[in-house]
Amino acid sequence: MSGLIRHGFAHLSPSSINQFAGSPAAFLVERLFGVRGRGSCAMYRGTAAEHGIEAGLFDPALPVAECQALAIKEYDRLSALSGDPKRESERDAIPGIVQVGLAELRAYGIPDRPEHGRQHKVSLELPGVPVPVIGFLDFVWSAHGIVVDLKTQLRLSSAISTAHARQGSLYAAATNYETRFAYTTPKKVGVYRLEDHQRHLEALRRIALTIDKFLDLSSDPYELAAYVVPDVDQFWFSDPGVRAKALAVWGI
Amino acid sequence: MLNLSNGGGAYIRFSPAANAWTVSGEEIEFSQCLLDPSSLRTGWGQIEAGMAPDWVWDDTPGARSKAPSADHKRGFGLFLYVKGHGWREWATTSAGCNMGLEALWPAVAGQQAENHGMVVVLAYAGSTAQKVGKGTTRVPNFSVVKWIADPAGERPSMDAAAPASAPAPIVVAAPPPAAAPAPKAAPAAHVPPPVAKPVMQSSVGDAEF
Repeated sequence: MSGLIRHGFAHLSPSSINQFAGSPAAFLVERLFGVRGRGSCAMYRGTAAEHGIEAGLFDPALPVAECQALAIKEYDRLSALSGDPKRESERDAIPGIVQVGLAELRAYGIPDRPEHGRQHKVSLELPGVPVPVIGFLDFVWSAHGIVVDLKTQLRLSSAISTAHARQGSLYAAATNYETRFAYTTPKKVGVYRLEDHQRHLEALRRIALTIDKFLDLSSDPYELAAYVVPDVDQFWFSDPGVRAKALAVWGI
Repeated sequence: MLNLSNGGGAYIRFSPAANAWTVSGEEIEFSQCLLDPSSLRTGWGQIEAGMAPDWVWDDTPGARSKAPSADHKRGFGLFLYVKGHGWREWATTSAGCNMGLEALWPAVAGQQAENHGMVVVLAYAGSTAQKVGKGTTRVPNFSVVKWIADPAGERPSMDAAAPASAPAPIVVAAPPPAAAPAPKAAPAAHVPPPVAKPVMQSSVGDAEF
């Protein structure tokens, strides 16, 4: 039997696949032991900025100041009780990110409306992988044949990261559209086209197969834990709850 | 007979030290409760045994105001409904309680807009011991079950002062470690927005009469 199916996985995602590649131990803690880290304020910053940019893209006449206000309101709701020491600095970055993002992406025109919810869901069967890989697209312009995934940052990336490229390969394969990543900071934006998505899709597939083989070793998560060790300096273990579970399982 | 116990009748409390919920000084148990998300207030609280708590609330939840004093800690207040006890205010600066609500809040906030005016049914699955800094606390574990219409029971006044019981130990969470550096990749070229496709001019309708 497939390890993924044995452990009850209905699907994988670029996020779970990238997590396994980065830290199989973190994958175990979250996906099998069920201990999930609280969201960080960096994550809330991204969600909130996207909320403001989305409003401005679907309503081109909406003033940027209103889009910024919507984003801030969303951030305040999500982070209301966060103890993250970066809470204020992440909040301060949002208005600039919304302004810069809209200045760049409004030129694409009004994006397609998702059929359900706020994002476009895609699902792809990969050869040999027993469960589909699903993903969610930020913005689609079918008129241009372009998918744009928004990535908010405090310092601009100079290229698409390997993890993002794997994520984008799913989008490109599922839609047949060109996939771009819009890395957006409070001051500037870099929109990069994903090249050679087939190579990254094959990497996605191979990691998924490895996950399947690994999970097939045992039905017992604690026995699986014996095959891996956590690097607790990685950001996967920055949440106290996740860190505590790692300590409990591995004694590290 | 003299009824000298600290009732704090409008309140519900979770004690990480005792791993227990109490109402009017009596321990209670529940597996589900209601939460009124519109009642959330965040702010700075000074809670000391034998004194009424002193709260300075943020103008809007989450918009951190300046700390009134070094003795005030970050905390929150909101209404919970527990069967048999009605609506109670849960107001605390406990690190464990803050962490518990912080873990729950993105789900509540994310669903709030489409459930305007409703209250959320929460499942309570006990608490988890957690080491934080040099101390320990317990984090109450809640999850969203569903949203329902507000039962519209009477809410106690959130400004009613009540003597506080001994506060749970307050620990400061250690800062998260620095994130692992991103892998280096060759610099990529910025791709400009696509050129708008020209709109085809139709000859129909151009004729002048």
